[in-house]
Order: sequence, then C-alpha cells, then structure tokens
Amino acid sequence: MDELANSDKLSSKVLYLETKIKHLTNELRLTREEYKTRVKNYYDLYSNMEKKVAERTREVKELHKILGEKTGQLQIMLDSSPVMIFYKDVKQKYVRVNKIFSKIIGVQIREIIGKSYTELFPGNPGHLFEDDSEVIQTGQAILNRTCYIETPEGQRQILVDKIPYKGIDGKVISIIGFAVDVTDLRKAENEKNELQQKIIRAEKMEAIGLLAGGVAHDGNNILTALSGYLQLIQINIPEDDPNRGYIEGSLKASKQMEHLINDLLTLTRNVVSNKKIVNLNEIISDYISSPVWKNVKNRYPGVIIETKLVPDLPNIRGVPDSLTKVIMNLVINAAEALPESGNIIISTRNISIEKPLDAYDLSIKKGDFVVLTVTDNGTGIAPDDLNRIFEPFYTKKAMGKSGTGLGMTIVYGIVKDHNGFVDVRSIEGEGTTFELYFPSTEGKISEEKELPVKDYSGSGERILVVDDVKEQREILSEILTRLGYSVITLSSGEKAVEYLKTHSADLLILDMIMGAGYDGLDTYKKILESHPEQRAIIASGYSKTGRVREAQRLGSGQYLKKPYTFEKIGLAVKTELER
Amino acid sequence: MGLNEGRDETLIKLVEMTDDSEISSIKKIVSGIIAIINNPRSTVQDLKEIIEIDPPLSAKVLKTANSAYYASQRKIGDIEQAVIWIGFDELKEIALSQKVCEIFAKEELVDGYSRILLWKHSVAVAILAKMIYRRELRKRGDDIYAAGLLHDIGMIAEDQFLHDDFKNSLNKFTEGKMSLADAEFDVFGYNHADVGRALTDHWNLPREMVTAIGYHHDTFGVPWKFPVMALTLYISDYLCQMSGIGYCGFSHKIDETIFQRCLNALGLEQYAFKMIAEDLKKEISRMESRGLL
Repeated sequence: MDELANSDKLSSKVLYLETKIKHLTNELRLTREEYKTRVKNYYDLYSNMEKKVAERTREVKELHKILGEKTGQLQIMLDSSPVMIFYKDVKQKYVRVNKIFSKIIGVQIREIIGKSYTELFPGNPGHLFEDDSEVIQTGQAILNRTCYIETPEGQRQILVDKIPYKGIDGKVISIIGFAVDVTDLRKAENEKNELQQKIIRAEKMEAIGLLAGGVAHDGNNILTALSGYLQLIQINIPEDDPNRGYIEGSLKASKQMEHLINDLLTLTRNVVSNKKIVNLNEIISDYISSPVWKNVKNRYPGVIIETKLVPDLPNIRGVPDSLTKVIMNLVINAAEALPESGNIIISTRNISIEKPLDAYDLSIKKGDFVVLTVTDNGTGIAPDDLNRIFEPFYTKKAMGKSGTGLGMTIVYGIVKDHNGFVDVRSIEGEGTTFELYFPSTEGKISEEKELPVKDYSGSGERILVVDDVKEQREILSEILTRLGYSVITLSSGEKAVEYLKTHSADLLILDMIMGAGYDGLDTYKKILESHPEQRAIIASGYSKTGRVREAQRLGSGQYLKKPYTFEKIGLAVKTELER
Repeated sequence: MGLNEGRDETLIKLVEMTDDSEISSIKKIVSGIIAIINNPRSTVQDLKEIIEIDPPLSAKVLKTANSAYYASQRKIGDIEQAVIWIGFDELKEIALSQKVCEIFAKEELVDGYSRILLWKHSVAVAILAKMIYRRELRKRGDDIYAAGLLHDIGMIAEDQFLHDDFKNSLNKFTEGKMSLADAEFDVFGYNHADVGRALTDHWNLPREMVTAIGYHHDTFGVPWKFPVMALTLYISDYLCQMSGIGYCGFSHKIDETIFQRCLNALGLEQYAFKMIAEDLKKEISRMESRGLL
C-alpha cells in the first residue's frame, strides 16, 4: 500500500520534473534565438553609431581645418600689423597679443598670455597701459591716450586705444586694445622743429650777413677813398708840417673803421680772413698791455682781472685782430656783469676731445684744441637769454646791455670762422663762463715785414684801371702814377674790352663789382678771348667770391682787397708784373 | 440572410463610430508595434520611431527605463537608449500594453463589470497565452500576447457607443440565464468577439490575429487555417476566468469537454497546462505587488 503511494508520489514528481524540463528547454531555445536577434540589433545599432561618429569626426576635422585656416589668416593679419594689438579678459589678463606687441615689450608671447601687465612688470607702472578698470567700469572706449612703457629699448611713448567688448547683457567681457609706438615719430617731430629753428636762425644770420655785406662793401669803397686821399696828403705834405699829426690821427681812425667793417664782414662768413699761425697766450698778453685794455680798467675800477695761461700752449691758425676782438668783447661783457666789483679770469689750456661737441649750431669733431676761457662771478645770464645771447642786437635789446649789440655776434662769427666752438655756462647770481675751442695746429709763427715804398715802384708799365666809381679810379691812378706806372682809367668793363681791341696794357686792375654791366670776371673773360696772356689783378671791397676765384683760375693773379694801401697796391702790381 | 446582412451593417456602423473616438487613438501605435512583431527584419530604429510619435508613451517608456526595476547606472534620456536598455523584445510588450491600457482606463463599475477589471483579465490572458506558446509550442509568443491584450476590445466599443444596450446585455447575463456572449447576441445581434474582429480587421491587423479574436468564444467555428492562436486564446481566456483573475463575467458554467478538446487539439497535457497556470498566478500576483495591475 505504501509502496504504491510512494511510487505514485515518485511518478508525479517525475512528471513534474519532466514537464518542467520541457518548459525550460523550450524557453531556453527561444531565448537563445531572441538573444541572437538582440545581438544583431545591438550590432546594427553599433554600426549605425560608428557611422554617425565617423561622419561627425569628418565634420569636426573639416571644421578644424577651416578654423585653422581662419586662425592662421587672422594671426598673419595680426602679426603683419605694425601696431601693437592685444586682447585682455575682465581680469585684465592677456588672452592674445600679436608679434609686434611681444617684440616691443620684450617678452615672449607664451609668457604674456594669462598674465596681467602688472604681473609681467611689477613695480614698473605703465599706468594707463596696465590698468583697464576705467574701460571695464564705464563700458566706454578710451582712444588716443598717450602713455609711457618701459622696454628693453628704454622708455617708449605710445598712443593707446582700448575698446570694450560686451556680451549680450551689455557687460564688458573683454578688452581689445591697440597701441602705436610714437617715440620715433615724436623724436622726428622734435628734430624737425629743431631743424626748423636752426634754419630760421641761419636765415636770420644770412639776412644780416647780406645787409652787413652791403654796408661793408659800400663802406669799404668810401674808406678807400678816405684812406687813399689821406695817404696822398701824407705823402704830399712836408715832414715837419704841423698838420701831420692830424693826418696820422685821421688815418688811424680810418683804420679803425676798416677794422669795424671787417668785423661786420666776418658776420657774412664770406670773408677770406688772412689767417696766420698765432699763439693765443701772446695775443692775450698783447691785449693786456694795450691801451684798449687800460680803458676798460678805468671804466670798471672794481673789477679784478687775472690771467691763467698755460705754458707751451699750442698754436692756432687765426687772425690776430679778430682774436683780440673776441677777448676784448668777452672781457667787456664780463665786466658789465660785475656791477660794483668782482673777478674776471682769462685762462688758456690745451685739450684733446674724444666725442664731438655741439652747441649753438656749432660743432667740432674729436681732435686737439686750445681752449680760451673767460669766467666771471657776476650776475649771470638767465637761461632764456643764454639761448639767444649770440643773436645780433639781442644783448642790447633784450638784455639791456650797452654797446652796438653786435659784440657777441662778432665773437660767435669769429669763432665759427676759425672752425671753433663756443659754449656758455651761467648760473644767475653766481657767474658766467665762456669757453672757446680753437683747433690747434703744428705750424710755426711767422713774422710779416712791411716793405718800404721804393721796393715796389714801377718803370712806366701801362696799367689799365677799370672801376665804376670815380674816386676809386682817381685814387688808384694817383697811387700808381706815384709808384712810377703809366695809368689809364675806364669806368666799365665793356669800355675796357673795346679799348683793348685797339690798345694794349701790361696789367689790368679790374674792380669785381661794377654795377649792371660786366663785372670783373665777365670783363676778364671777354678780354682773354682776344688777349689770352693778359695779366690782371682783381680788386674788390667785398669778398673773395666764387667769381674772384674763377677769375684767378682763368689766369688773373693777385686779389686786391679794398681799401687800398700803398703797400698793398704796390706789392700786388709788382708781383703780378714780375710773374 | 437578411439578419446577417443587417448585422454586418450595424457592425460596420459601430466600427465607424470608433474611428472618431479614443479607441482609435491607439490604432496607429498598436498596429505599428504588431507589424514590428511580425517582421523578423525589424530594428530598434523602427520601434523607436513608433514610440517617439506618442509623447505619453515615450514618457512612460523613459520612466520605465529609469525605474528601479531596470536599475540603469546612467539616466536614460532617449528612446533609443531605452530600447537598448530595456530590451527590444520586452519593450515591444511594454509599449503595447501601455498603449492598449489607455482605452481601458475607466473605473466605473457596472454590474460587476469595469474596464479596469477587463484590462486585468486581458493582461492575464495575454501572459498566459504567451507562456503556453513559449513553453509548449516553442513559439516566441509576441503576437499572441498582442492578441491577448486586444481580444475583448469589442466590449469597450459596446460599452462606449452602445452603452445602454451593453448594460442591458450585462443585466441579462447577471440574471443568470445565459452566457454574456449569448446575451450580447440577443441584444445586438452580435457579440464582443465579432466586434473585436471587425475592429481589428478595420485596423488591418494580421489575419491570424483578427481571426483568433473573432472566434475566441467559438473555437470550433474557426477556419482550419488558423487554429493555434484561436485555441490558445480560448483556453487562456477560460483559465483566467476560472481563476478569477480580472473580469470573469463571461459564462456561468464551463464546458469541460470543449476545454479538453481544445487542449488535445493543441497537444497540450493537462498537467503541463496546470503548471503553466500556476506560474501565471505567480506572475499576476508579482505584478499586483509591484503595482502594475
């Protein structure tokens, strides 16, 4: 009975298990198939996704390429710009800068990005350049502001624009900036202004020179007449004539006038000064022992003058009278600055300079120089006056000094004519120092002797004198006749040319400037056509111009400068006839 | 016969009425999913596209994908991801149930009948039928699952459009005189199986499904070509009623012999069937505890 029950139980159990297994197996099989489908689905999905990714990647690459190109173009544009361009965020740190920016501030681009100006240059304020807060707060652009930055090249002046870039909400999100280095531009402008000033000064001087030249030329002619006639009187009157003294006095005065005119002429710088080898120490000593000097001392009794002359001072090439004039003018100038009493020191020294010096439109290159210094402890010169002290009449008009107002101008002109250099230093209330540099020379001092009259008398040679001024002709004629020559005078170059067609002359004396017609050179040229060997002397009260030189080149010999003296004329004629 | 023609006409009229109603709102999705079920070459894309066009459905799908049950590590954000995560096959079912459930969503209880109860019954039938397919007949069972969900859809139509007559037939049934199907026949001239057939036919659902639904109370009237689905539906329907799952108001007595004939026709062992039925009950209670039913 139990066994049956058990076996029933067992078979029902078996049935259960069998059915269960069948069910599970079926499910499993189905699941496996479904699984395959699912895998395929996933695979399809995956492939799809891969395709999408590939396409997206392609798109991205394409965009990258375009972006790269555009960036490249932008970078080229930015870097080609001569203007500094920069881009900063609201924290004032640089996001991007162009090449020239990096070059000018002297920092590599990669060091700049991400830092603010203050971080790059702590303690080196660029002020506006470094600080953007005004732009950020107001949202307004700042244009054309000047500021200064320190760079490896030194301080540079730049013009800056800063422009805010705003987001959609109107808030500033970054700043775009441009800066131009205008240092060189400003420098060039300044130089231009200086040059313009120089030109104006030079033109002024030239105008004055022309004026002075004109006055001098006529003055010389007049002097020639004066001096000539006086010399003739001197010759004609007996030795013991009581009027001799007056004549001598007059001649002396005339000589002084000549000097004055000479000085005027030095202003034109067309003058060919008769330079000799001289020594400044001698000239100074001569001056100190001269009567002129005594006059000065009398006029300014409270003034003590010392000299400190260095021994073995090298020589210089110069005109003694001009140099004396320089010293004289400087001393008088110094004396005037010492109202009651004071000291003036005249000193000389020897110096070698390495670097060129430049002041008052004069400049000297390196070399050996003799320096003449005149120093006083007087009232000094105001800085504004100091700039203009050599201007003609400035000392008289603006500074209220006495004299002609040309004293300093003459000093300047003489220094320039001697290829020198002058500098002035002054402190108001303490004193003034003038320093004059003259190029030293190896040459030796020569002595000039005057020849007695006899040595240059002639023997009847025919001399043709051509001058448009009657007095000039008369005087020359007289002098030459006295000297033993036979003289013909004509009043114009054209007449001379005509005359020589039918006559001959052993020597021509041609005035250079003769009014509207032929001048001396024209005349000489014309005459040379028919008389190629014609001897001639050019005479002029003016200057040894290019035309004179041209005439000399063509064959004329001596150059005779008015006013005439016996010696000058005699020597010139003799020399020319014996050539 | 005149009666048949008349019957067909009113049927057609009824079906046409549904076209403008909410019943028809599920048509597109349901037929789309069923088409996917029956197409071996259908892809995740196809399912995704069907779901996407229905916002409430999409929302529900995503919610499900992100639910604790599926325990995704990452938030599932789109349908494609949901399909992959939940699984193509599972999601077909989920979407289908989701959609069909929409028309069963009325609580009102009339004579022991309510749509909710009907829904529960339909789901149980669908699950059971699918189990039978898979475990005994070694078929995948997606299609019969769909058929199970839809098999009593005719009642919805009757309830909605011929409400009074429907109540009438319910009355007749509860009075105990005849089965519901007969009561319906009495009142309408047709029963809910006919309506279901007409409707699903109108929706162009597969022939087999249409037929199975149409004959789920009259299995031996089914044309010989499609017996399996119909038979399975019948016995599933029968068992669910017997088990008291969901709405059970179809008949007062069960014809055991017909039941057995059906089992035999399918080649099903009683014992095996009983086991499957047990599993169904387990599954139903599991779903109830999770709040899905």
